[in-house]
Amino acid sequence: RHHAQPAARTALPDAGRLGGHLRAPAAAAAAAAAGSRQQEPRVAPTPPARGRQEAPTEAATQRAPHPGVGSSGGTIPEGAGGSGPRVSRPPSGLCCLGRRSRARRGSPGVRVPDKLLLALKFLFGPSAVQALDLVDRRSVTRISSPSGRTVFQVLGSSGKAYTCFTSCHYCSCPAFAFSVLRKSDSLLCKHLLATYLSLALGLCQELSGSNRQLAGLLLAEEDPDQA
Amino acid sequence: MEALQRLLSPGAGVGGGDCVAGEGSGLLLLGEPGSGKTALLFAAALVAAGEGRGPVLFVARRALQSLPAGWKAGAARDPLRLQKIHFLYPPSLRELLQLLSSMHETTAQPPSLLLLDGLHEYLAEASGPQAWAHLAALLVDTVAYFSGCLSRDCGLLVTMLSPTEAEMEAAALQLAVLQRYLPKCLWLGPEPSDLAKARPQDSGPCFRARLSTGPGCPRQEWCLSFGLDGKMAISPVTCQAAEHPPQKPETSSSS
Repeated sequence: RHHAQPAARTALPDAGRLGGHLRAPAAAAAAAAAGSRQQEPRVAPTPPARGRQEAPTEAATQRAPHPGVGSSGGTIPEGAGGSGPRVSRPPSGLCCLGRRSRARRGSPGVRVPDKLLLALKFLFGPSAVQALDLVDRRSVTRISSPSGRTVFQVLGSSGKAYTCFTSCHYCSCPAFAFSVLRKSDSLLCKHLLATYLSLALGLCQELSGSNRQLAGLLLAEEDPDQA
Repeated sequence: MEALQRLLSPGAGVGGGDCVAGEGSGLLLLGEPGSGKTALLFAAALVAAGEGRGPVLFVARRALQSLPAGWKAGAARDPLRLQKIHFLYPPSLRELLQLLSSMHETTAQPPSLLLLDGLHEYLAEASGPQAWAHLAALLVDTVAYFSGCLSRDCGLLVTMLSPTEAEMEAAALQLAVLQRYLPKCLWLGPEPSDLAKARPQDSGPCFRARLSTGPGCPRQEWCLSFGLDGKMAISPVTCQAAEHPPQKPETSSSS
């Protein structure tokens, strides 16, 4: 009963190919990114919430008729402190893998086969669950500038935003400095893992900013507001 | 000259071996003071500028006092080459970081090669692994962005003083962090004594360049000699494992 279905898909679905089949959560995320950027429905709601999820899902689909293509995203308002965009985070508790797979059964979200989830857990240990939780919360935002340069920002569970590169492994969080760089205990931190997972699943929020804002994010300086 | 072109041209990949392909185009050049790092870097700049694949960015803490000897003649033959090399001198780590992170808005034409002379001078200002990694990652990210613009590889060459024995532990950590981002290393060291004796007395200093691209790749060596006029000559060294004892691991080879 625990196992949802025999995994029909063996590869991580990617947003471009899925097109119209990429359903509610991504559409909601796209709509949320484009529109008011308010609270989005979770991928894995607790069972009672499942019925209520239908309403925002349909609304979101109507607002974004081509969810696969139209993750056009919003723009960063100029003068937002110069420190880059911040994405609102829906409140949520911690998800465990079991609950996630049960909830997935009924929800029309992007499906990751249990086999891959277990492999992630095996490779990355506790970071895997934390990273999946970040993916669920749509914490990963890809920020692009007119120059074509992009950078990723991940909203950590503490509410602090970290800058991640994907051209090479780099995250501005302290865990990356300690367990990856100093101790070489881990391959990645949860923010980087969440970035790669969000990219593979097509669940990144998209924002565009000015060249200058992107430069500020690349510098990844300590933001006085956040400290 | 052909050997140098093969060695340093970013498009061809260092050494041209299979193991080099697809690993990113960064190369870390390590050596003691006066082992010809800057001369090699400048030679690479001239070679890349002569290829006509866009400008070359040469970043250093302070301006070169003079062109490395031996290259004046070559450069003078083709003044257009020098014009294609854009020199930038950020005086502090902070300004280097700002320069790198805003290169997408400041550079009109993406360069074909990015050179940084004296990474250690900037790293001395950095506070720890996070800051070292940030600088290295920003270098790699900038080059990756340029490569995306050009739809072909933009090269990255960084020179650094090889760590001294006094600060071995911190230096080893620093090197380990840097090699995450620049896995390919070219070590410049003095020539083995037995070979140095065999050379004529009146020739200039000679160095041995060893390329390590990671485990499982054959190690390649070149001989780098400077004549009395400062002219640099590069010749490949054929590996003869029987004659020379295997090289020590990288971290201790600079001693």
